[in-house]
Amino acid sequence: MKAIWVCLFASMLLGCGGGGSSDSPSPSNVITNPNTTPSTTPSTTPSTTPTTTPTTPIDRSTTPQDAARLLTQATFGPTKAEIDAVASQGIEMWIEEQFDAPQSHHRAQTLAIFNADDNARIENGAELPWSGHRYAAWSEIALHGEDQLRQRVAFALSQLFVISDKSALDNSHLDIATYYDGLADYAFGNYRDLLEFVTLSPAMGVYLNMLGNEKPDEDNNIRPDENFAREVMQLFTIGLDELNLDGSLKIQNGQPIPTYDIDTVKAYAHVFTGWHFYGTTYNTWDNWWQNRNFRNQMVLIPEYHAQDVRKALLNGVVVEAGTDGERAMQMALDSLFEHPNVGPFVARHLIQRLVTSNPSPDYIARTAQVFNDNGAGGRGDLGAVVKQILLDEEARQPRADQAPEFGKIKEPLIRGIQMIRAFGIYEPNTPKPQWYDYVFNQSPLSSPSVFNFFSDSFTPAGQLNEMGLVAPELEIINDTYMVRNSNHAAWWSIWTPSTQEIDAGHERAMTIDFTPFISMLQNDPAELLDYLDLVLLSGGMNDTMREAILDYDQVAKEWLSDVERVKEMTFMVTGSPQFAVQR
Amino acid sequence: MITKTSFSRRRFLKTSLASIVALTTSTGLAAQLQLANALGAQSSARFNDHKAIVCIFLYGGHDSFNLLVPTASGEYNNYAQTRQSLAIPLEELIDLQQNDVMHLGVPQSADALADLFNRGRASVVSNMGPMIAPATKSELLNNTRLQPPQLFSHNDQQTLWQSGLADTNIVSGWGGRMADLVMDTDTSLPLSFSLGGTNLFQRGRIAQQYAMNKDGVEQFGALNPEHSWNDTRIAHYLRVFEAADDPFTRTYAQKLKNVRTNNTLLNSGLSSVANTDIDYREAGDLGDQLKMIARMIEAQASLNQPRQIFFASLGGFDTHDDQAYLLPRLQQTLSHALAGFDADLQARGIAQNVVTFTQSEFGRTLTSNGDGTDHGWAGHQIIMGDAIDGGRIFGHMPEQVINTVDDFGDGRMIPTTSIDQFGAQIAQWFGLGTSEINDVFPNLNRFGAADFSLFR
Repeated sequence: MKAIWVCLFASMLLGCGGGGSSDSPSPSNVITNPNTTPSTTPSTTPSTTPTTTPTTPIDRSTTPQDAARLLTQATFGPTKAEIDAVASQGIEMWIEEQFDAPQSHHRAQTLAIFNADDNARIENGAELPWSGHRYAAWSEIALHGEDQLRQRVAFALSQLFVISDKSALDNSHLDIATYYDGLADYAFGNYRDLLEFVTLSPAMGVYLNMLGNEKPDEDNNIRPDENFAREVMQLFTIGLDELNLDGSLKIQNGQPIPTYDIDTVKAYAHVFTGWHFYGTTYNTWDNWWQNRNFRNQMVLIPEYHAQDVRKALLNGVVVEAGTDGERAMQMALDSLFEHPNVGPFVARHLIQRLVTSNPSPDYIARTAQVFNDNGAGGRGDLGAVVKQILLDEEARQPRADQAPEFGKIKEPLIRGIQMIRAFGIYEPNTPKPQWYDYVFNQSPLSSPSVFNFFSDSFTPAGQLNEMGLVAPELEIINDTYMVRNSNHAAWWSIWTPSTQEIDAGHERAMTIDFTPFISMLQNDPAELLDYLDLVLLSGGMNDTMREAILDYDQVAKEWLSDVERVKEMTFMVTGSPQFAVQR
Repeated sequence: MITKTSFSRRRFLKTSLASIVALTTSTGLAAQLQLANALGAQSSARFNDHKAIVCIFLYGGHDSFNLLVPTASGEYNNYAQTRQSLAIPLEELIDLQQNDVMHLGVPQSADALADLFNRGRASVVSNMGPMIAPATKSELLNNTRLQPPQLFSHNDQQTLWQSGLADTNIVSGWGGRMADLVMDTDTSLPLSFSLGGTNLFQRGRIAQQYAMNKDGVEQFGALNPEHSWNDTRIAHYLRVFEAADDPFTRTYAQKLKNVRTNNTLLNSGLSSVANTDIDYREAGDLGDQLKMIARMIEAQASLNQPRQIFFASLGGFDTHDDQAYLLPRLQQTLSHALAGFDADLQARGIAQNVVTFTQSEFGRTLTSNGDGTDHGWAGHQIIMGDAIDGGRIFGHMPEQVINTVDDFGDGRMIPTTSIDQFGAQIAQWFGLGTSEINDVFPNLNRFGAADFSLFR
């Protein structure tokens, strides 16, 4: 039974089989880089935002616990080394360094993993990467990338500007990786630039049907497709109802105020006509596959644009009849960007993905304010917004001061990565393709619909509902996935072979060197538990939990070896409800 | 901060069933069960027969007006004129044998559905959708308060269909409210099972849904109580649960505890029920969901569940693009799944106990965007089972012409049957009394009884 288990989960996260034997590892828990490093040619777009005059951030050291909490919010999981670094240099300096860290690239990494995969290319004759190559690239970057903050923000943005391979893009994994790299490009840039990138992205064009959208043809009862027009407002920029700066609904006569109606959707739908793959011409408009190009942004073919229609957009902006399509597009994007909803809408989303599911109105307002004006008159400065979110008093409050409603359920995929990052990884071989839906019910840019993996307002029945609190992530952690997450933690904590146990004939992509943890245990089990508490729970373990785990070790040591005791103690933390939560 | 959640909480607190003392999670489940006890008799005592309802949600908005196509020449020509490139050729339509409305046919890809219909196994409820109150086109256009909120928005319309209340601030579904009234109080096992994802439909004020996958119940590894070598680990692990001291951790721990209990119950209940050999004919994931549902219904007796509510789903119906390619495949999957499920239930000897029906967040525009359709309003739904008056089309069937009194604009059709009216008849079959039905559908009295009966 156990052997079958190991192989089943190994194929999820490690990759069973294949040829080659692993090298003899050097005992170390330092994170190593993957064999193939993608070339990093940063492709930043000049920002039009006036930026604040750079000042030297105050060198302010902090506690290891707060450093761990920050890293849980801002990376794919703390490591002991990074906790120590942040604790001594201070959070603000760490953030500034992260702004300059070299960027990891998903497209190049996907290609590298695919090119090294003989099973896919040769035995299966694949000409293009599979989804599993892209997911493995994503997790390699999450595990090893230096640009942790940028990648964490990009992941959050991928849940706002959603595209998914569960669509017509189901064989376009390099193209989806290109889109993801674009989100990462703009993670600290300007929201207006990001919105334009997304709108003119051919991947988005295919996903929400703007690509190839045509002006009306009344004789044939054809109107422009409304999909992108509706979702760009509902999901990417302003939402359904007018908001105050603090994210609360504006109320008129006891009712919320809708931001737009069907006529607004139609007006934007008319603006979003005439766009197609780069390289398309008037004559080749219908030759969809001939023109396929996912590297460049879409271009306008004026003959297919609804130029002669007057379009009444948001905020009183009117695109008069006769306006050319490119000008109309800029006006439309500006009208969305300038809407007062955008600040609180984006603020709430980013706070929910990074810090807490139920931010206070003041926290949203402080963050939205920075979106509206970064301190130097610039609107839409995402770098400033991210910095504000992480440095805000609500994110940084010590545990003792936290309100009960602070915190969030971790996204299952992030929790899985955290668990692995905490231990250090040895990788003798190039990563194999990985698939994460089975265990985590989520994979990057693979949500069931443009509505992301879960609803931002999901609240489960019970205490959270009674308190008026949302817990979006619980929508995908249902009965089936509760068990699978637990089993995954168990597999990783208990059944992953250590470097000491490695079977030379059985190729492993990742494994753990338990040597340092065994010495901690032998010194004092509480010392190991302290380490797990700091790196996995940011020091939040209470005495009841501590006693329970130490009691277990006292009993279990009668029949378990030292390395087995280390693994059991690890599972008691990684499989715990406490580890599922971030506070 | 006023959020949609806050609104729903205030409404929740005002309704008759909800004058409840706040529940703490540490006694959560027990307190919830005590409350349910106060609401209605336990189903195992109340019912001496077995019934199950199965909701199949078609996510994306199903262009059901392209499933039921007029075939008489005048009406067909109007349809073809309206639909243009998306019209299905007349010779590809299979006749539905009925006298309720105009002549209709279904596309070849849905031949299994035509067969079910013509054998009296299934019927159609036409032109249905969320409505605040009965209203004509001019009344709707003159008074936006008669229009359900956020029409044409996927998630909001999914909420309206699943809640059965034309108000998006509600956090319970009509299936869940039915479960509230009949759930058993001396078990932690819900009577609502989802094979099609977390959904609002099955969410009650108290009643929960239990997520299963098509292979059944997920087995614990390290925490599996069936293996004694796990006992010590489990014992200490449960102490870690009890250490939870914030709302999020407590919630997670409580749910994990429930899963452990319920998994054991379900494993033993399912152990005596086999798979059948019925061929669902490539009905894909939906077919697999229904296969497991059939087993669960057969297990009603061993699970001591005289009443069950199931949720399955099929996505992909948001055919803005490429509809001529995508929609027939979806309709074929749906048809094969329904036919396979019906045959499976008959083979198990339980078909008389089950009513299956579709829902979808909206129909689609009769006008096209070139190669697809956009979000509409009213659509047709299928209902299937022994107890159903089969081979019927219930309700008004509009002509497929734009700018008529049925057309809200661009061929988005105005519903003539409400979800309340539809659900109320299902709730009655399920065994709820009149006042209970009005509790599940508080707006029902705005509509009056439908002028049809779904059940024989």
